Amino acid sequence: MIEVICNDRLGRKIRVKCNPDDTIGDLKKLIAAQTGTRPEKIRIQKWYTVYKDHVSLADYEIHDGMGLELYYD
Amino acid sequence: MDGQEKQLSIEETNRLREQLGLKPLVVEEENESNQGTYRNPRWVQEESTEEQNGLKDKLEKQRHKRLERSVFDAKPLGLDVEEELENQLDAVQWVKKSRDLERQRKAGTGGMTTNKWKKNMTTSLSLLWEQPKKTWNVLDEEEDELENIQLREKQQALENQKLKRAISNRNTRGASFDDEFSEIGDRLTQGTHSLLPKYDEPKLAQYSKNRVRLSSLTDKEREAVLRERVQSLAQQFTESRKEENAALTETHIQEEYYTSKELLGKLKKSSGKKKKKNRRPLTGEEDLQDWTDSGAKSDEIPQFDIDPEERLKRLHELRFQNQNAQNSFNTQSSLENKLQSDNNQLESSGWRRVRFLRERGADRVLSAIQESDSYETAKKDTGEGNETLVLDDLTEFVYNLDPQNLHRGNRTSTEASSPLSSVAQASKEEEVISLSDREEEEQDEHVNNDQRHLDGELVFENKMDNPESNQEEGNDDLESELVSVGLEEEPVSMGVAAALKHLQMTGNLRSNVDQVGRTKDERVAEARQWDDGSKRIKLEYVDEFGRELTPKEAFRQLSYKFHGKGPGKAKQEKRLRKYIQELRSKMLSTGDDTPLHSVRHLKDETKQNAVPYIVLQSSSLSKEMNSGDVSRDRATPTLERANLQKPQNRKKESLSTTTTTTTSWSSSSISTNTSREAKEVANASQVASMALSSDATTSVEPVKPERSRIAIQLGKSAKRKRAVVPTQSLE
Repeated sequence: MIEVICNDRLGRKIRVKCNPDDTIGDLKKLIAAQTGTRPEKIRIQKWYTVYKDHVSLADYEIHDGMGLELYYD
Repeated sequence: MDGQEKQLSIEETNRLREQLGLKPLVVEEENESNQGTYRNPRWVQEESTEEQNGLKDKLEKQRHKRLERSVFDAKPLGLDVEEELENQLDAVQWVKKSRDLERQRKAGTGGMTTNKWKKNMTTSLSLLWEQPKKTWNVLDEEEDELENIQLREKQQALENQKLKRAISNRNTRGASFDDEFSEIGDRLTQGTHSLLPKYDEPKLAQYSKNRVRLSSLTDKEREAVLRERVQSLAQQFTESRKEENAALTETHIQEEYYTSKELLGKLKKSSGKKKKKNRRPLTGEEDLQDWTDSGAKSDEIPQFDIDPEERLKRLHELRFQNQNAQNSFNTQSSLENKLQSDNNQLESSGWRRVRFLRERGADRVLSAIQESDSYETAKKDTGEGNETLVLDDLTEFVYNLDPQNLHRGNRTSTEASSPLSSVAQASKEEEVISLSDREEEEQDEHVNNDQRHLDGELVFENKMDNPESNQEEGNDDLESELVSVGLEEEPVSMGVAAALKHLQMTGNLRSNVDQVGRTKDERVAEARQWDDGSKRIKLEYVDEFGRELTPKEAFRQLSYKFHGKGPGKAKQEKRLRKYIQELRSKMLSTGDDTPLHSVRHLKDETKQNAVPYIVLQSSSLSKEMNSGDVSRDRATPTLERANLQKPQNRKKESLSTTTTTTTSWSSSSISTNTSREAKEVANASQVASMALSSDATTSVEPVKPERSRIAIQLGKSAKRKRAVVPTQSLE
C-alpha cells in the first residue's frame, strides 16, 4: 500500500492510499471519489508528463509519498 | 478552499475500492529493514552510540585543556615584554628596582625630573604602536618612540610664530640671528646651509626635546652614529656622481679619420634594403683585420699591405671587444685568402671587396667557399654545438612558427637536408653580401650555425624518436621539409574538412576585424607589421561597449571629448539600439534557431502535448485538399484534434496509423516508456514502416487508402482519431 499525494495547486491536496499495481485509471477513480469530480475529467501529470490511464503506478515508478499534479480537463 | 489534506483511512478506502470494483489495499507489514521507506528513511549507524559518546567526551576534555593552557601562553601588554616578565617574576628584584627608582628621583638623575613631571602631569604619553605613525627615516630603525601629540603641536605653533617673526623682521635690522637661522643649529649636518629654509620640509622632530626615546644610546651617541651614516652616504653619492660625470665628459681629440670605435658605431646601422646574404663561411682573423682596415685608424691611410703581425695585434684588441663573433671570423679568413690572391689592392678593404665580388660573380665566391678548408671545419664545428645564443629576425621567425613543431616526432630531416639549412643554402648561392652590412652578415652566419645546431639537435631527437623514419624518407623535397618545419600541413584527404583545415592554417579563415563605425569607413584589417619587431605599435581605440573603432570613428569620439559636446539624445539612443540589435543578431547567428523562433515554438508544442512529434496535417484535411472539398468547417485546429484522448476502460489502446504526416522530434517521450506500450508501438510502427517502405516509390495519394486499411485492421475502433504513431521515432 502506498500513499500518493495529489496536489491541485488551487487548494486541493489529497492523500490517496492505493496499491502499487493499481493503474492510473484506478487512481483517478479514487481521486474522483474523494474530490467529487468525475474521473474522466481528471488529468494526472508530472511536469509535462501526462500519465496514461492504463499504466500501473509501479510502471510509472510512483512510490510512497510521491506528489502528483492534478489537473482538470 | 480546504487547505488541509483530505485523507481516508484504510478501511474507508477499502470500502471505496469495493464500490469501484477494485481489489482491497494490500497492507504490508513494516519490516525492520535498514533502508527504510521513502518517507521514513533510516540512516545506518555503523558505530554504537556508546562509542560515539566516549569520543565526544574525549574531544571535549582535550578542548578544555587547550583553552586552559592558552591563558598562560598569552603575552602581557607592555614595553619590554620579556624584560618585564623576567623582572616581575622575582619579587625581591622588583623591590630593589622600585627602591632604585625612588632614589633616582630624589637625586634628579635619569628619567624625568620631578619638575618636569609636574609640568607634564596633565599631559599623557601615547604609545606609538597604538597609532602607528612611523617616521620614515631610514636611519631610524630599531628604536621605539613615544610621541606626545599635544607637545608636537605646541612645537609647531612655536615654529610658525618664529617664521612669521622672521619674515616680518627680515628687512629690518631687528631680526635676530637666532630667529631667522635657528634651523641651522638644530641640523644634524651642520655644514649645510640651505637657501630658503622656510620652504624646506619640516625638520625631523626626532631631535626635539619633548620626545621620549627609548634606546640604549644617549643623545650624543646617537647623533654621532647618525652623522657618520649620513656622511658615508653622502660620500658614496658624490663618488658615484663623479664617476658618471667622468664617463660622460671624457674628452678626446677629434681626428680627421674615423677611429675603430666610431666605425663600430657607424657600421651597425643597417642600410635601407637588406639583401640576402651570401652565407660564406668566415674565418675570424682576416675578417677583423679587413674590418679595421676599412675603418682606418687615426694615424693611417687605408693601407692594403699591412704586416700580419700588426693585423694580429689589432685582431686581439677587437677580439676582446667582440666575443661573440668568433666563428664567423674563422670562416671568413680563408675566403679572404682565396680572393686576395686574385687581386691585390681592391680586395683587402671591406667595401671594395664587395664591388669585386659583384664584378666577379657569385659562382666564384661559391667555388672559393667550397674550396676553402675552413668551411669544412666550420661545418664540423657547428655540429658539435655552439654555445652562443644569437637572437635574430630569422631565428625568431622560425621559432615563432610553432615551437612544438620543432620537436615533432615525424620529422624526416637529416642533417644535410634539414629544411632551414637547405633554404639558407639556396639563398646563399643566389646573392651576395653587402659589406656595409658586415655586422648582419656575421650575425647571419651565427644564425646559420645556430640553425644547423638546432637542426642537429632536432636530428638527434628525431633519431631518438623515429629511427626508422629517418632512414625511410630521404627525399629532399622542399614540401616535406616545410611540412616538418610546420610551415605547411600535410594534406590528409581531399575533403572539405581538409581544405578548411588548410585554410585555417594559412590564416585565411580569420574573421576580419569587426570595427565599429559608419559603413563606408575604412577598416584596418590587421596590425601593420613594422620591419623592426620591437617597434610594433598598434593603437587600439575602443568604445564604451568594448568594440574596436575605425580610425574615423575613433577620431569622432576624440573630438567629442575635446570639444565637450557630443551627439544629441536621439542619436545616442539610436546608437544604443543599434548595439542591442547587433548583439541580438549575433546571438541568433550563433544559436540554432530561426529569426522567428520556429524551433522554440515547435519544442513548446511538443512539450505541451507531451508527445515527441508534431502533427502537421490531419487526415481529414489532407483528404479534403486532395478532393478539393473545402466545405467542411474545422473549428478546432489540427494539432489539438490529434491530441484528443478519450477516456477508456482498461482495454489496450488501439494504435492506429492515420494518414497524417508527422514529424518526430528527438524530445523525450513519456508514453512509450512502459514495456507494454513500447511493444505495441513497436509492432504498429513495424507494420507502418513496412507499409511505407512498400509504398515508398508511389505517390502520396495512393498510400493513404492503404494506410487507412491498415488502421482498420489494427484498431478496434477506427472511428476514433487516436494518437498517432510516432513512425520515425523508433526507427
